[in-house]
Amino acid sequence: MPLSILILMNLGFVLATILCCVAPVAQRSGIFFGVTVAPEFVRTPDARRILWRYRRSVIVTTLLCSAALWVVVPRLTGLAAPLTSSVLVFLGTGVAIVSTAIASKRVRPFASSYSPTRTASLRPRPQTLPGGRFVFAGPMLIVAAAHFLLLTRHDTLPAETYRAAFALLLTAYVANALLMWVAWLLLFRTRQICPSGSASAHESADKRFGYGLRLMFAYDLTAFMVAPALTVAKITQAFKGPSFLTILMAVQVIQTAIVLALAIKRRGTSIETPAARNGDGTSDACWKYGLIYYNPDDPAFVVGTRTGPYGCDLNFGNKWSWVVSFGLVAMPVLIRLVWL
Amino acid sequence: MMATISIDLNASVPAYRQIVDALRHLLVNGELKPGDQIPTVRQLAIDLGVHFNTVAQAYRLLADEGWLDLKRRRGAIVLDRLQPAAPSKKRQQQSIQRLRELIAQLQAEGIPANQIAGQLRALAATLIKGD
Repeated sequence: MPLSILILMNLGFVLATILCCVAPVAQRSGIFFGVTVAPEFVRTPDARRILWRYRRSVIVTTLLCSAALWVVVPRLTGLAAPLTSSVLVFLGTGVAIVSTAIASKRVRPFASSYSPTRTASLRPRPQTLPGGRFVFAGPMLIVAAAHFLLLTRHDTLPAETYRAAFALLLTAYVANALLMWVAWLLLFRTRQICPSGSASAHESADKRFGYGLRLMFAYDLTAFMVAPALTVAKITQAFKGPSFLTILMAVQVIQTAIVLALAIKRRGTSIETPAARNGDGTSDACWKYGLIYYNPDDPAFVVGTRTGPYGCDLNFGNKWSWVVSFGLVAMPVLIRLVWL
Repeated sequence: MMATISIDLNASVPAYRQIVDALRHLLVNGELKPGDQIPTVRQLAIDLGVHFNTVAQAYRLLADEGWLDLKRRRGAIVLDRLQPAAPSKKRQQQSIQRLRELIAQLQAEGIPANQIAGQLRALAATLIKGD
C-alpha cells in the first residue's frame, strides 16, 4: 500500500477520533450522550468522569488501530492490505458506537424529567435551498452527464464493461437520491426546538450546515463512483492509479478537518435557553442507547441527531425509515444481483 | 416578533382543541393580523409533535369560523374576518355553559376560586378597554 495512503488513513483516524471526542460537548445544550439533562450537568464531576471514560476508550482504540496500520498492513499483499485497513476502520467505528451507548447508559440516572409541553413558532419557515437548486441537484447532474458519456460509447464497449460502468453510476444515482433526500428532510422536516429568538437562528444555522455537510458528502460519493465508471469505460484515464485515490482521500481529510474546526468553535457556544431544559423535544425513552430513535406517535420522519451538533436521525417508528434503511443496505447487493 | 403557541401533550384537553384555542386567542387579540401566513399543517404538526390530522382538524375548525383561508401546501392565511352577527340566545347559553365548565375544571385542578375570580376580573377589564 502506498505510503501516502497510509499517512492519509492515519490522519483520518486521528481526525475522526478528535471529532468523536469533541462531539459529546458540541451537541445542543441539554443533551449529553443522547440523554436529556440539565444544561449545567456537563460541568459536573460525574459528567466529566463519564466523558473521560468514553474518550479514553476511543483514544486507546485509535492508537491500537494506528499501530496495526503501520505494523501489519505494510506487510500484507494483494487484497489483504485494503481489507485489513477496512477492518480497522470498522473496528474504530464500532468501538465509538459501543462507547457512546455505554456512556449513554451511565448518563441516564442523571436524566431530566420529560416535559410534555411543546412550543412552536407561527412563522412559516423559508422553503429556499441554501446555494440554490442547481447546487442541490449538482451530484445528480454530474452522474447524469457521466451516464450520457457512457451512452455515447454503448456501441463500442463490450457488454460486460458497459454493465460494470453502469452499475457504478446506478449506485451513484440511488445513493445520491437518498443523500439529497435526507439533506432536504434535515432542512425542511425536522422539528424547530427553539421557536424564537437567537437560539432559533442558531438552530436554523446548524440545520443549514448539516444540509451542506450531506450535500458535500453526496459530491464526494459522486466523485468516488463516477471516476471509476469513466475509467472502466475507458472514457478517460485521468482517474486511473493510486494518485487519484490519494487526492480523493486528501480532500476527505481536509473536509473532516474543517468540520472538526467548526465543531470545536461551536463547543461552549451552544445557547442555553429555557427551551434547552426540554432537550430536543423527544422523550429519552424513545432513544435506544442514545443512538436510534423509535417513536410511532411522532409524525416526524427525521429528528435532530443526539450524537453530534449537525445532522438528523431517522424515526424508526415510521415505516418508511425501514424502507430507506433496507434500501441503503440492500442496494449494492441488488444492483450486483440484478444488473451485473 | 412572530407569535408562538404552546400545548401540553399530557393535558386532558385534546391537542386539537388546545391548538384552536391558542390560535383563536392570537387572532382575537390581533397578534395574528389579516394577511399573515401561518405554518403548513405538516410543519406545525412536526414542531408540536402531534399527528398531521390533529393540526388539520384545528385549521379546519378555524376556517369554518371564518378566521383562516387554507391553501394546500402553503399553510394558511389569516382572513379579514367580518364582525360576526350577534349569536342566537341558544348559542350564547352554550358559550356561557362552556365558560362554567372551564371554571369548574380549573377549580378541580386546585386553583382557588378567588384566584380564578381575580383573573376573570382582570380579563374583563382588558376586554372592556379593548372595546
